[in-house]
Amino acid sequence: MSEDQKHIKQLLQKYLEAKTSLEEESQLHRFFSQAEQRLDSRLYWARDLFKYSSNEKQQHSDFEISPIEKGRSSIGFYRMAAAIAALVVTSLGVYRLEENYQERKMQEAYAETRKAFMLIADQLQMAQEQTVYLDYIDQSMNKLLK
Amino acid sequence: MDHKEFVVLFKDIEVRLYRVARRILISHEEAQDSVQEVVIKIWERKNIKAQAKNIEAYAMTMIKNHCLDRLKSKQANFLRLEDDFDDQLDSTDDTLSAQNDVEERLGAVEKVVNLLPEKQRTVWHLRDVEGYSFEEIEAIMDMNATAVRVTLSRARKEIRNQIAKQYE
Repeated sequence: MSEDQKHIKQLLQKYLEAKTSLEEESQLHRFFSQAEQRLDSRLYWARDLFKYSSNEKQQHSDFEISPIEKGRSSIGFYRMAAAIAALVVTSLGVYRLEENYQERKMQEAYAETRKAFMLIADQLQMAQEQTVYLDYIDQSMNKLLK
Repeated sequence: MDHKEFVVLFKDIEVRLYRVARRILISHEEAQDSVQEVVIKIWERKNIKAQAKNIEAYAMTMIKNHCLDRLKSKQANFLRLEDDFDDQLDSTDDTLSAQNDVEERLGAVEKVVNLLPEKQRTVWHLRDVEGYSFEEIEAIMDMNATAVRVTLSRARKEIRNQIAKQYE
């Protein structure tokens, strides 16, 4: 094993105890970024880990949001507009529904009332017929009695 | 600080905020939402003085709290983070050898890191990816010096053990 690797192993021990400085940690990064051909297999974990964390530092550097221009005002505006539109549509819907409902109710009530009047009318008609009938009886009685 | 200065200042910070948020929440969409919400909140507090280093630590603290809250409310609702998080849970007993290519090996490291408890993986990320000093991490995490070192040491050892296991 090379002198280099011995030194690195000591640094890794410190690294695991969280006692390395940022400078020592960048030494480790540098060491493992140069792919060493004859790396002790006991150092594979460190090679992978330092390669990973070096990589991660470069990740997502294209990430961008502009909260005040794109994010804030436009989203705020669209959200508000959407909310108002939704409110209008819903209230219109409810209103129409309510209107329909009342109309239906009124028609029902009208039909019921009409039925009731018809019933009364029928009864009246029957009553009238019966009265006519009674008249006949009356006349016949009179005939008989005469 | 006017709007233009704010945007310039946050161009760099946003990237780091996003990486930390992503580390905590795993999901890209959740991380993006969180960064947006936090940056808006900071902008709304107009009294911030333009001291780049302070504002960065301040923003980091806010994103960390925001993400941990999100994580907690999700766990309280028994919701899973994301599908790929489940996949990660399943596949940690992969074995590695010299034949594996770099991408596979780095993927294996990512799984191991993201399976750490959230405090450990946040502290690990702040140090090993973002390169913050211990003082900065103490401030961001609201932890004392000893707690930061213990947490970081645990995280690093666990990562070492898990990766080394895959080479056995």
